[in-house]
Amino acid sequence: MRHSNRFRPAWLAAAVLCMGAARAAAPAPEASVDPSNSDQVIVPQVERREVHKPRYPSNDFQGTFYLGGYSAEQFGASGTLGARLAYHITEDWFAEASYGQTKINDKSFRQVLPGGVLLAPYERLQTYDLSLGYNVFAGEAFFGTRTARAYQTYVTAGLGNTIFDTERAQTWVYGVGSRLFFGDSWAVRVDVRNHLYKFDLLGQRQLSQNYELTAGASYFF
Amino acid sequence: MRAAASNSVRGAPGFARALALALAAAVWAVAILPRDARAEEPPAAPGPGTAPAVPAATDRPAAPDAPLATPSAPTTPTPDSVAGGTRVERVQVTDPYLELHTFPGRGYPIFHVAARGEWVAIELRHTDWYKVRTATGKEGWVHRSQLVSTLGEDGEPQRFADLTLHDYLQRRFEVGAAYGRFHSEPMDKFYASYRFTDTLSIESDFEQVQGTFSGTTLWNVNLQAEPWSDRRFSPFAGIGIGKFRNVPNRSLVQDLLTNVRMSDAVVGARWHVTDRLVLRADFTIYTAFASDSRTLEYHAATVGLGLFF
Repeated sequence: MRHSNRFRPAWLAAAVLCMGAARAAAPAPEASVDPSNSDQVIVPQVERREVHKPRYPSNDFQGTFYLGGYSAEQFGASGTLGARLAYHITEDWFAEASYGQTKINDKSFRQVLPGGVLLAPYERLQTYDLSLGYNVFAGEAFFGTRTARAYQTYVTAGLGNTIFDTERAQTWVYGVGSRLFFGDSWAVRVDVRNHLYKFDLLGQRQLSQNYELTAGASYFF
Repeated sequence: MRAAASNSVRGAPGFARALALALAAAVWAVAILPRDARAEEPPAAPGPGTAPAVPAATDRPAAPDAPLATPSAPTTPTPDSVAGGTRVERVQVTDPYLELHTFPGRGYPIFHVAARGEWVAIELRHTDWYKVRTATGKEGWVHRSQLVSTLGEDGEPQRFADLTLHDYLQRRFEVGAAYGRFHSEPMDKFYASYRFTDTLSIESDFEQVQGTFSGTTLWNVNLQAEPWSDRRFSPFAGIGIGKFRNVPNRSLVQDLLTNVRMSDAVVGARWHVTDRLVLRADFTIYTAFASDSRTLEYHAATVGLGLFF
């Protein structure tokens, strides 16, 4: 087989680099002509005005700490904690990165198999993902007759990883959640997420559904 | 048996190719430097040399019952408008009215309207919504679309710039995620890049491949060139170095962990979709230096979404 007959992306990469070089080396169009050298009879005397670009403080980022429960299929539920960082792109859409960890035990397996199926009785499970969220319902929640707070219910879906028992498993994450605002900067939230990944247990690889229910406090900045 | 072992094994050409690409990038990087020296002029602030600019206060269409610049209008920031060193922007309403919502969202009730000619202070922005305070102390959220025609303290239309292509072209940071195939196995990829010149950026990638019998983790740092960075759709190419780590499933016997250095070459393209969203597709060749005499070569293609800042 002749290599030259094959599509070689590496050569394409080299070609693009060379094209970039050629483009960069090409002379740029000349800057605007100096008015003092032109034939213009009247040179307008325009005072330079101070133009400032308005800056508005914003709080599109949302940081969250959460606590809750993580239910690992085949192993049972345990406590979890983690953090999320969201960026609100528009009124409707946001992107969110999450990281959480929990400890999984194989107690129920050890009743049958004295050695258990995990390396240690308690194994740390870490999960992280990047999700896109959409605010589906927004409204006001009322406390008594004089206080109204804003809330938003949203759906999220994303992609991430689960690190457990020396394995790293690609993980699809989807869920639903709700946040209730306290002022412009603070919110409390509850989230239900399902983490879908394939896990090799006792030589058999199977898809596992792992639900997570968490409550957290958020700060917008 | 393992996914890694079943892949194509090639010798020295992989390394030679990476070396050649590194050389090409170095030449290219040197060539690009003069271009960056020609910095773009900021679009605003007309200078004395530009075309005659009539003071804008006179060419603005006059609203019949609204004074254009009331003598009482503050022309400099008042002490209360400078809080903590940041200037609070004040604008004058030119539309018949400004609708103040209770919270930043299109469905929240309108509880107050600010009339034409009234001055409001802008305190905070959340996505496309601005929290304003009227002279009477009412605070509410106004959508950007209602504020675009307001006048600033200099009597000029206040700028509430929506994110445009210009912002995309001036971007510095980009983060995102992508999904695709790595040697026919599913791969996810997370990336963050910093553009330090018009056409050059440094990108850090983290990839995870889910094989049937093993999982592969890759991370690499790339130097990327984007020759047509002034276009909405632009191809890019890059090379980099990193780590390749293949961990077989624990239930396999005779498993062998591979943790070696690698190099990579990538070609791809990005396209500014809207707002802060960037669509991106790429094709990468990873060359893992398994030993002195053996290299493993893998091809991967991914499609993903990124956010720029």
